[in-house]
Amino acid sequence: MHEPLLKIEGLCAEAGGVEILRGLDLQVNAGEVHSIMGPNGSGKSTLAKVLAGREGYEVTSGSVLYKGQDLLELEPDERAREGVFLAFQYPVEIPGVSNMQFLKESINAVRTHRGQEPLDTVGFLGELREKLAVVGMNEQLLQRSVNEDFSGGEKKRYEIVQMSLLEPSLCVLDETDSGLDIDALRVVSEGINRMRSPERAMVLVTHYQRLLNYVQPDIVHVMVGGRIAQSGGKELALQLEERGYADFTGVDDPAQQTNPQEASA
Amino acid sequence: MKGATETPQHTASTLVELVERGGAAIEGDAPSWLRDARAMAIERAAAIGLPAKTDEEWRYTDPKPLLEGQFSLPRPGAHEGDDPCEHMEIEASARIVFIDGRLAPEHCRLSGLPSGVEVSLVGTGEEADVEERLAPIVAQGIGGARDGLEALGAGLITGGVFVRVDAGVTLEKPIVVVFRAEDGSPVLSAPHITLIVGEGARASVIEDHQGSAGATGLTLGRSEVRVAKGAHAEHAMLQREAPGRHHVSTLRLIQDAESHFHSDRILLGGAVTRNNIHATLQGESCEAVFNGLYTPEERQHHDSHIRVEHMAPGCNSRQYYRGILADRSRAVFTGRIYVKDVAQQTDAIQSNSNLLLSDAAQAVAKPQLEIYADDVRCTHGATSGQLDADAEFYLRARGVPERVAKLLLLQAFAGENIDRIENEALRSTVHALADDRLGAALERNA
Repeated sequence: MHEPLLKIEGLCAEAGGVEILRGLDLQVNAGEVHSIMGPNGSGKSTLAKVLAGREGYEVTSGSVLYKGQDLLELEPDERAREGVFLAFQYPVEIPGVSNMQFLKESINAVRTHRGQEPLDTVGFLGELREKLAVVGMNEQLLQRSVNEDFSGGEKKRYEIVQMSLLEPSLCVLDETDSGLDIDALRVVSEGINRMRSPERAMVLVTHYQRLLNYVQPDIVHVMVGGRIAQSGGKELALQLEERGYADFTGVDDPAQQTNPQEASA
Repeated sequence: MKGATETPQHTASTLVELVERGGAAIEGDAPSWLRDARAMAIERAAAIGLPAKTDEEWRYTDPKPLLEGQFSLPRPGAHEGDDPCEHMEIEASARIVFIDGRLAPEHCRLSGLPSGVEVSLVGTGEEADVEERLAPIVAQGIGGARDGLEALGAGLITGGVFVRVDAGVTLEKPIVVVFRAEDGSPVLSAPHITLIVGEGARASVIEDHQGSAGATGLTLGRSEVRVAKGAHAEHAMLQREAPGRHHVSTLRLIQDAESHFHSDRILLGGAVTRNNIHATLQGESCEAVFNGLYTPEERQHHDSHIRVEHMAPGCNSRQYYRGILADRSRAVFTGRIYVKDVAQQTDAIQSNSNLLLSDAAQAVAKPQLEIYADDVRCTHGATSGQLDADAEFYLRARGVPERVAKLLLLQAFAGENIDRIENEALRSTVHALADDRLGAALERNA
């Protein structure tokens, strides 16, 4: 038996004193694409942030093993260098830090950690051009500041560029489909699909199933009230599309549906 | 230091004592107009009083270390010996070096100036006769001083440079003046710069105040800038004094119609620093930019005090001041935009932002508007806070180590104002100095 890439057991976490994750179990093997769906406030985005190590979320119990090591022990940047990638729901604009500086620092931090030579500018540009082309962007963005004045679609495409540049082992995509028009959704999906590989796992956190028309998940989970309520194949996503989350929220704690922490996070 | 105690001016004394002793306190071999100016400055200081912490304008900066510290005036004569200055790689049209308040003639370069440009030394015993042109400006500065310290700065004049560019003449490269303090006695130097830019002319001056690490004393500086109709002037000051030396400097600017002025003031060093700007936009349709950056650390105190007066219609002014505060440092920003009733269509912006790297650091911002015209656009904004946690997390989530992420964000914050520095060589010098400083500050304030 292979060790799972990611193994979450009984994970409980809170933010601002409010419990959001309530005993979540999840196992993800290399090569798999999982989708975590759920209503607003179910804790999906919190899970993504806890995995990436965002400050302000306190894990109160449970464990997260990534490649057999305790992920929660690691700093956010260590996690990233170890191959955990979070595609942000709301990529952050950073005025004054150019995309060139940002991407070079990022890729070379990861490469150095992997024992690879840092890339010089020529090597870096070579790598980057190819990744940009996949999502229809060009290197003019390098002189601009990180995410500054990017449209919603550009920000999401740029997340995919970074993901493909860093070649992570575990990709967590937080609502990557939100705010995308149909063309952008297709481009982003294409970028995600290209990254699928037997060594890499993906967790797609999404409210709607429309992304799943383009990226076919192996396993679909429904998350409600801070834990996985049901898991199944991709037919589960279609069932949710048809009937909504009422089947699940009806039997769970309805207060969690409008958890303000999650809604604003 | 033989002879240091023989004449009254070289005995260490406080500014309070200097003012109490009166105008006769400073003698020596200076030309009579300069002796008169010094006496006038001291009398004026006595009349309007030295600042006190109870004055509204000094509420957040205790003037006591400036007024009660023991300082001695520079010894007469020129500085001889090596040039220890850190020179920027600036292509200058002229370079003048003062060390411990004394001219270092061997290290100055004044030749090869284009015709229509005058660069004269002041108070050095080597000057050409600048009395007629300079004395009225000095008298005006002393007369207009708002407190005794400013009056002393305007008139003590231990050394300086007078620059005049005739109408229509363009001086491509800046005139660079270096003031350096070396270890030793706590010298009071009162450097005086005048820049007069004639109609349609163009010129710039860069002041570099620096010192060896152990230098003490006080710089009491004054820069008088007059920009005639349609002229372009730039004035930059890099204050990288030793941490034990106090620094007070005042930029007095008067602009005529359709003129352009740009100021860069970079405060890195000093113990107590007071950066005064008093700008009068007296002609129509002027433009003025006041760009500033301060990065106090340890127990440094950086106070910027800016007054921009719009006296005529249609002028634009911009105040952009940013600070990064580490350790137990303090910074004060007081910016006032004054708009006279006739100054319609004034467009004035004032912006001050501070980043605090430590809980013990403190920033005070006092934006002030005083507007008597009704058709104007004046905005001001002041912010104070820590590094953006979302931005830091985003960088770290891409593998960038914490220290590097923070440094990138600090560089970005400071970079906005550093990139605004007009002179390219000064810009790169400040980038390098700021990077070093901020990197070290992060280590200490982790």
